[in-house]
Amino acid sequence: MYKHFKKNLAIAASILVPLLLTPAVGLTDTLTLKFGLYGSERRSSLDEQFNPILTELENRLSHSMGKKVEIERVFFRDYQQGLDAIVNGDVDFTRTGPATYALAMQRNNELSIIAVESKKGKKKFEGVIVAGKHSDISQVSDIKNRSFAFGNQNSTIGRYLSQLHLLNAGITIAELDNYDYLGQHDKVAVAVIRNQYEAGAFKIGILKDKYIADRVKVIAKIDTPTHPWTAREGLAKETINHIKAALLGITDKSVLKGLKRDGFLAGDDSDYTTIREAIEKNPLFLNEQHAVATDAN
Amino acid sequence: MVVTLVVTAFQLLFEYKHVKHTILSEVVDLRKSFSGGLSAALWDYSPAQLDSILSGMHQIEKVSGAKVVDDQDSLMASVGSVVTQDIQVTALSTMEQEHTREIQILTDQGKETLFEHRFPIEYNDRGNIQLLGYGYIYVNHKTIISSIVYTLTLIIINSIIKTLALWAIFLFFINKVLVRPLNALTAATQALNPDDPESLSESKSLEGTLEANRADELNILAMKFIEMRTAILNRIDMIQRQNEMLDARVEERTRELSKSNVALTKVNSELEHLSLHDPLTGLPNRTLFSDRLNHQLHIAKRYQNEFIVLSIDLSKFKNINDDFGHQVGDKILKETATRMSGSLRKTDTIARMGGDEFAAILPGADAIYGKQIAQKLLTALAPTIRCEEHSIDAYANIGIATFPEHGTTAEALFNNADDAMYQAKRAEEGFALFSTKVNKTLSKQRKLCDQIPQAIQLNQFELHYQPIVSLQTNQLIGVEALVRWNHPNFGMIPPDEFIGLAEKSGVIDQLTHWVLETACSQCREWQEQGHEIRVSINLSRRSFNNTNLAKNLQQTVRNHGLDTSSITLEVTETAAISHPETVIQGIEELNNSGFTVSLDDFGTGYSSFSLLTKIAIKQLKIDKDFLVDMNESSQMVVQTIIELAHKLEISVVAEGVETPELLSWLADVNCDYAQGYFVSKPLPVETLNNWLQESEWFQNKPDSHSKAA
Repeated sequence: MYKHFKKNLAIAASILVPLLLTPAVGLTDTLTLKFGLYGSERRSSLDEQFNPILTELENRLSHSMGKKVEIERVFFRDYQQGLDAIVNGDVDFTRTGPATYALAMQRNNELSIIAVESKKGKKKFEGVIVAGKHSDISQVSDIKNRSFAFGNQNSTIGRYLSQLHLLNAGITIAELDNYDYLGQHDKVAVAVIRNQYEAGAFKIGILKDKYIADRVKVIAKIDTPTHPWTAREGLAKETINHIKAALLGITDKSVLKGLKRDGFLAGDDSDYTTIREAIEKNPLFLNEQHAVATDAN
Repeated sequence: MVVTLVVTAFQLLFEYKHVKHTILSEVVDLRKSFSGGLSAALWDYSPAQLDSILSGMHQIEKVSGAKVVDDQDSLMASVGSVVTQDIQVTALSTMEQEHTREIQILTDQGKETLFEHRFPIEYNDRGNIQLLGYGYIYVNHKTIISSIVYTLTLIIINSIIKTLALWAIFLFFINKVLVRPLNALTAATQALNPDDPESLSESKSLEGTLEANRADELNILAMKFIEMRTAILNRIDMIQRQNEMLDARVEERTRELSKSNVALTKVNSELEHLSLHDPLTGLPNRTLFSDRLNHQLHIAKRYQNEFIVLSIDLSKFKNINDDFGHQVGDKILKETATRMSGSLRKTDTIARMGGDEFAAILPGADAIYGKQIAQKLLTALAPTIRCEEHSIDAYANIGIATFPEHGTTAEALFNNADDAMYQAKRAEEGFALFSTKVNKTLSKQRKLCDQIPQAIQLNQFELHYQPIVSLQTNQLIGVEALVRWNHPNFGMIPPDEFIGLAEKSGVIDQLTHWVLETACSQCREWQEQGHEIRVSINLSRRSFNNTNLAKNLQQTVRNHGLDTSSITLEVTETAAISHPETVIQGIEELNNSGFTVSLDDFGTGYSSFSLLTKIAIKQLKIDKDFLVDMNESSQMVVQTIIELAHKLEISVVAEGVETPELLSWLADVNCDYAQGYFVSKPLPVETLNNWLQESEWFQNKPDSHSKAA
């Protein structure tokens, strides 16, 4: 009796399990990719900012890959969480700042750049070091013993490149009268305007605001690589190529409006050498040689 | 109206200034609320926060717009209607409020007025005050106007609600105090229906609206109304009771009158019969005969038939009366009437024309048949009549006239038959057919009539006086003057034989004048002798043709030293009926002249009692035919005549009183006077004077007539 039961059960299982495991025709053709998003903005703002291009990307991928592709938006509260997610492979691909990319690569060099954003057809944009309109600071070296406002501690311009500029001008953090990381580029600008800090660094786009532009003067400009779109370790090469091709094909301004970019360009890790250098030299600025390894980890 | 408008205008102006001042003051205060936020937002340079703050400011109803500019006067944020560099400002004026001005701008919709309040936005940076920019708050002039309109709308709505509420309260009290009571009073009044007494008691609703403790005029009015209604109800009840009593009395009187009407109808029927028939013989009288003769004439003329008229006169009938008395005479008349009517066909008519005169109409008869009938009548009368202990022979003379040979009118036929009868009488031939010979004979008769004036001159006439006595006092109160003709050839001719001819010939006036003169003279003589004897004189119908009759008679009476009250003038009922207007007017004049006018032979004419109300008579004389052979019906007629005459203040004389029983009965039924053979027959003046000396009536002995009875 028991013997017959086991035989019958085996037969039934051999028939039912494949049926249960086999998805429906539609489901079989769907590919879901996780896209990591982080930033200080509200989630709705980020969704609004990225939804057009991600939707366009879904369409293009579905078309190119011959199956339905869905991109799941995964939000993170800050740089660090976003960094951790791509490093750990919690998301399939993400958009990061240049410094974040460099930091991520320090932790997982199996990450790969899918494409880089295009700023006026180039793979870089500018940052600025500014002082008050009527300040006596006219060059970076004048900042010595003055106060300085930095952006986010993980920011490319707001920290690493600006601090590299100060370092290159012979100024370490010890030669600053006062400094702080204000978190956002505009806050740095306002702080300089309000004479809370005598100088500061932020992306050049902030100067589009006439109120700010009229009240600061640019001391120096900093070339900065544009944001890379990075694939996790282990994401299928075919998939990466399909994403890359799709991103490079997007030129519609309405789709790109949220990114404030004009398209994508092919890129690789060499495009971020400068930022990698800045990160590596940053402990010199901080006079914390031992700390570099810690941050890099 | 103008004052109201001016006051309203001032109110609006004051309200405008007040609202504007209030709003702008509030705006000034508003800045204090928002300047901190604006300062922080500007210090942090947060356009989003600035927009948020300004949006919040704009939410305030009075704020039509707001803006923030930096220290370089560059616009940083704005909301609503604000003044910018792009807008054309047409006028500016500073206002009493600090940093506030009135600005007129030109927009696409035209000119617009804004009130602008400007205030600095400063930030205290660690004790260092920094000017960051300026804030502007705008109030549109329309906002003030809208506020005023809103305020006014509230005031108006408030006023309307208050007014309506006051009116509602007012109307409620008016309704309670005035309208409801008035409606109830009106409804109660309208419910009153003069034809429906029930409506008075049904209009009870008024009591429910009255308040006993209230003493206002309306309540008093309603109370009085109820009192009046109650009084009316009481009066109506009283009237209804009186009406019921009256109805009962009317019903009782109606029953009585019904009984009286039956009696009166019977009496009228009797009177009608009597008026058309001879009460003694029961034959048609002169009136009915005349009517039937005219009727026969119409028929004969229409169908060209023949008929004859007979005039019948009993010979020497006066002698029968004189010899045997009227009672016997009347029985003779009745017997002869019975015999003659029995000799005629039912289609024939025989009538008693008066006295011993009869006439007959024989339809379809010619002269030959007429003679046969005449002979038949004479044959019927031939047998001796037994009356009491007397055997009396009655003779008749009959005149025959044929239609159309002897006349085509009733008057001609009757007169010619009458002439033929005279001829037969004179010739003692029994009957005679009218002929020219007869006419010639008649002419002789008329010549006799023509002799009347001469006879007056020759004193051939004399007056006999028949006494009239009072049944109340048994006194002689007067005499009736009756004329007699003592003809030298024909002896004493009774008045029946010449009065008619005298009237026809017109000499009656002379004869009447002689009678009046003689009677007055005699009356005066009696008065001189100390006897107050009133004299009654018969007037002919013709006398009333004289329009000065009353005046002439009055003069004649006065000529004899008499008062008109001493003379009674008798007029026959037939005369009064035949010429009513002339006679009635003449009687009126005589009455006014003081004469006593007496209606003679009452009951013989076809009259009604209404005649008595039209004629101003003071006395009537019941014809003797009523009093002969009285039965129950004739007694009722006589009694009714007496009662009716008395109600009309007319005294009554009974004629033909020949028995003491009749005299006694007349006294019992309150007849005033009596005249007849029982008292005295007509007497010549000498005989009468003797009678006066001897008669108990004249001596005023109260028991005289009872002795006679």
